[in-house]
Amino acid sequence: MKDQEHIIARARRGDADAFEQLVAAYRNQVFRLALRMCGNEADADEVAQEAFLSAWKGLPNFRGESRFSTWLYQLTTHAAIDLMRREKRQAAAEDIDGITAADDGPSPQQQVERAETRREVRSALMQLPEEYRQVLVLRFMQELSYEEIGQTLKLPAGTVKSRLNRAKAQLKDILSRSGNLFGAVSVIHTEQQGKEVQP
Amino acid sequence: MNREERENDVLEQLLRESLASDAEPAEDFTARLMEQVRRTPQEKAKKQPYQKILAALAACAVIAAAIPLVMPWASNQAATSADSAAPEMQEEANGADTADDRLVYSTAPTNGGEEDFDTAGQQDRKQNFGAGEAVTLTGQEAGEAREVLDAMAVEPVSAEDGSVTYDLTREQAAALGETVEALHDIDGGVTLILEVAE
Repeated sequence: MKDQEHIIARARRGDADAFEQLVAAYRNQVFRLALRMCGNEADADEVAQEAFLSAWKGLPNFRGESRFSTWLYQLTTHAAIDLMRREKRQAAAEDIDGITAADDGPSPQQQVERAETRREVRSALMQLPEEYRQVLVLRFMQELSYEEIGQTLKLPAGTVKSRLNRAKAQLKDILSRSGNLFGAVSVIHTEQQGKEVQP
Repeated sequence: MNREERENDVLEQLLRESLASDAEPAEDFTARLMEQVRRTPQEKAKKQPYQKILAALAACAVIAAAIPLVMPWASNQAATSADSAAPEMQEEANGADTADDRLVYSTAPTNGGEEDFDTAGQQDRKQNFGAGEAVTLTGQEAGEAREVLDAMAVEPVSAEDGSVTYDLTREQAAALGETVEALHDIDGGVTLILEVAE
């Protein structure tokens, strides 16, 4: 942590080599966040580049009032919003699969079912309004607190909480209409029962 | 746990799993980025609010310190007016007792009151300054002085258009000073001019 503070301080003073170390540390997280915001790798690449470049330019004014990562996610979110508005397009529904299941996980059939469910959830996410998708991604992908999401989106924590609830309700509604939520419940329930039975 | 809570838990778990990603940016991502970074200057650090306040206070201090250097008259004006007011007030308080300075004394009524009196006195003082021995009396006091001088059998050196001039010795001036208040403190011979209406 101290090391990172030192690197940030050097980067703030214009040390590009120090900034490159920060890029190396955060590039995957920033890219994945951009990917979930935009839905396709080309846009995610552009957004991630833009976010890091904004970070470089704005570093002298970064006061450390929030975590560096939170600030970086904020820049990424804004870059994604800017891109979507500039290009006047919806997030692409192109599906990029998540982490592959571990070998010692559920049975092959369950894995297939689970992968299908994830694909449906990502598809449903892309159908959500932009503002709902943002809070869900920041909360359940970046694991930010309400306060941190509030800092990122410049919203009060209470608004973040209510927006998250509405986003989840709408997502649940989309999944329920397609029948995937109840399927997912049964898959997870079965998996949990299986884990409990195993020694 | 009721059905709604369970569904909510499942949804959150699904969201975490679905949003999790092991995707990575392209291999040349960092190289492309750093090429741009090295070409892009950083923004200048903005001043914090407390720094702005300090800067404003420092600017005020500099301006205050610079005023006497740039406009010396501005800073001296107040002091001068205060300094000059005091002696004049003192002079007014002393009134006729300061006869050494006030070489002209008039008891004649004036329309302008004290202000006119002072103005006339200042003008005559300027005229007589350096002569040292010329005193002009007018009005009632000029009449009194003339009676005393007549009684002392002192003859005028000239008389024309209502203005009578006497050259008085030190003794004559001192004797006259006992009666005429304006000459109380005269020490030495004087040229006395009496402006008496014919």
